Amino acid sequence: MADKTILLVEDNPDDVTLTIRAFEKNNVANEVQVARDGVEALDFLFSRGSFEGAENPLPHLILLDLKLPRVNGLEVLREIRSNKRTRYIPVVVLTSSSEEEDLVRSYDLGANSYVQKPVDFNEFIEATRQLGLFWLVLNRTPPVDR
Amino acid sequence: MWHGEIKNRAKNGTYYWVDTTIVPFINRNGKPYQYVAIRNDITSRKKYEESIIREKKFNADILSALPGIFYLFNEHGRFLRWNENFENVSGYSALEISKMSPTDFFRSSERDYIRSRIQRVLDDGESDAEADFLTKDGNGIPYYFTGKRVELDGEICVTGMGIDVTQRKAAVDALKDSEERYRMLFENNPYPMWVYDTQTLEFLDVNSAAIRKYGYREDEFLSMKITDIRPAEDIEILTRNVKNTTSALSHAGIWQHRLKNESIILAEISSHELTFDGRDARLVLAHDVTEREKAAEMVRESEDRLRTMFDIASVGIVQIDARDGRLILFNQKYCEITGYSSEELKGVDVFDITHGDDRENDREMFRRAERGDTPLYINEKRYVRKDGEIRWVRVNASFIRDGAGNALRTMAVVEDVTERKLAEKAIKELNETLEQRIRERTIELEAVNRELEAFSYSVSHDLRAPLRSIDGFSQAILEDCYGDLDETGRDHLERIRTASRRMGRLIDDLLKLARVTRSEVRRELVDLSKLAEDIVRAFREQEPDREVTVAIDTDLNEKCDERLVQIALENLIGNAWKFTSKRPEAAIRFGVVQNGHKKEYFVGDNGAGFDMAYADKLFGAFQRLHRADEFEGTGIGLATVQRIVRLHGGQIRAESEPDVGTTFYFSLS
Repeated sequence: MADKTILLVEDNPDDVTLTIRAFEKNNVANEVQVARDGVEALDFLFSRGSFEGAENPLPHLILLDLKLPRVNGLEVLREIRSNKRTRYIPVVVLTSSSEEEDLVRSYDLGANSYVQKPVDFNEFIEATRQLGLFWLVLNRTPPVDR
Repeated sequence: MWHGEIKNRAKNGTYYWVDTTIVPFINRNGKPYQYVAIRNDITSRKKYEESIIREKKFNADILSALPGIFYLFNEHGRFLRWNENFENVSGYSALEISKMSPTDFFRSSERDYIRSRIQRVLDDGESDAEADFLTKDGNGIPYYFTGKRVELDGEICVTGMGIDVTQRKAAVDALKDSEERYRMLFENNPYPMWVYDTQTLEFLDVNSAAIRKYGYREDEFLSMKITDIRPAEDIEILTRNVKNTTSALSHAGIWQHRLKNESIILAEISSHELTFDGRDARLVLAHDVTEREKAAEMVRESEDRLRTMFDIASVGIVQIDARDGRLILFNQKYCEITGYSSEELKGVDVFDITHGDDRENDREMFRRAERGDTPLYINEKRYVRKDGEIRWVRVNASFIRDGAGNALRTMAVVEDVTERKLAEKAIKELNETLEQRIRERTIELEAVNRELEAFSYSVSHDLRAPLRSIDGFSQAILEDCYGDLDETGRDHLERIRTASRRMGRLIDDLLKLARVTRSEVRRELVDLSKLAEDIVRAFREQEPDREVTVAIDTDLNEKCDERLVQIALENLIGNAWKFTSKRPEAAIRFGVVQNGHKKEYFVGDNGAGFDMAYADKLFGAFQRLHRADEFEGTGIGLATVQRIVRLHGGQIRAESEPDVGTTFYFSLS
């Protein structure tokens, strides 16, 4: 289980730190790769731009914020789902937004889950624990050519 | 022998009478051959005789010339003398009369009376009588008889005259009649009348109408002068008038009269001069015209007012000859509308000042109304003013018709509606551009909405992130540096965490309120009972330890927006749940009441309640009636509920009492 990697697409460094801390608190030891905006996330996934030739292994779970500089989370999601290699990767939208429209569009574009980041850090830890348990332990995905 | 009296003429021209006897001497043949005349001058005797004869003839002439009948009879009733008239009037011959007695000429009923009058003549020397004189053919003629006792040739006689009084009697009767008529006319006249002495001005007679009208008794009137019933200021002119009135009949005009009760009336006076008991007087008829004058004054005022209204009316008023369309009468405003002076307008054909494009239609409408096809003529058309300016007018006309129904004249009210017409035109143009403007406006609004949504999105996303950092890192410090912190430091960090979590809830509630505000109401039939039950179940699951008695009326169905009403009920039931948290036996009730014709739903509790003095703050955003350490809350929930209720066209109100409980009533239409 620990060999499964996580891609965290998050522009807020505080949230990055707190998310990683929450994983640690839950003893999720999986490698967390961080992309700080949509472009970086896509470059990472498709080995483009600054990741040209890097041949990164595809993550087993993508935690995707929606409000991102340059290319936003929904566009990233659309790209992920329209690409044959990445289309089955579980994407959990992890966002501050409680807008119904965001929720609906996320699912329209093929999000696997939609989690609103709680302000209460204890709740956040609990949410992270459940996420890790479900997506990294319980859930099974079609085989992906990594 | 011849004997005679011969009148001879003397040489000196005078006459003398001679008694002459002529004796003839006759021969054997019987023929006179000689005459002897014996003459005796009898002139003086003849003169005496002539005077007797003249006297007799004179008496006879007088008797026959008398207008009446003459009679002389002795005390035994034998007629001795009478005149021709007696025979003519009575119809009896002289022979007949000589055999009759005086009483024979009267009806038997009057004979005693006549006898007694004759006796009086014989006793006292003279008397008279009035009775009908009976003629031979049976008629009775009213006669007045006089009688005087005379002695004639030693006999006691009665002589006298009778005068036909038919005329006089008729005159007396007529006079009596006329007096009665006068009295009746005077006394019973409905108008006050009086007679006054033109010298002394004293009242000589008044009728009962005057007594009634003026209030004075008859004896008061008769001790007054006509100046006494006049106001002081009129007396001078009155006395002058009385002196100067020369005509027998005069209308003195209308005067002020003062009644006994001091009130003043207006009396129209007619008078006629007459002699009253031998005094120069005037008969006066006074007609109280106070009311008539008042009415006339009112009519004058009313006419003045109408005239004034006509003149100063803010609409044109015009009278038109229906036969040729020419203006007969018009007011100032009409001149102003048309721009012509009243001199210029006289006789102008109304169609000539009508705009050429409107003329045909106007004429047709006018003719239709004139024929009676349409009850009224109402038209809006254009006038071309004298200065060429075009004015829109609304003309409302009716027709004055003769007995046969032919229109004679038209009375029209002409209103200048140019401003209104221009406004209508502007409105029409405005309407045409309105849709375009709405489209533009909608696009603008949509843009604003999008901006608002973007704003909300930012808020929801960007405001929460720092709070998460604050809470998260506070927690991190508490965990990682627990040993380095004393009790106060740890307490402060906890406070930071509490505050940030509270702010998170505030943001969530605000976003909810914003979303509700933007919502459109989509009505469908909603089972409110079930909705409430689901909400209560969720609360029970969150706080399974609480014991709350919840009563929900069944079958509460309402056409409303389910999603919005759910939010409202969550808030209301949530409040009830929260504010009963300190009650050992908490109770919540959801139901419906009929308030007039309005259905009101209610959510009631037996919770903390509040002071109704603050009820006006209840529905304002961020308004709280309890401290945060008593009951948590953001103060946005009820603002959201109110928005939802209002979006449904309903109303919400609260009834509460501290420590007894609160009930919210709301309608959804």
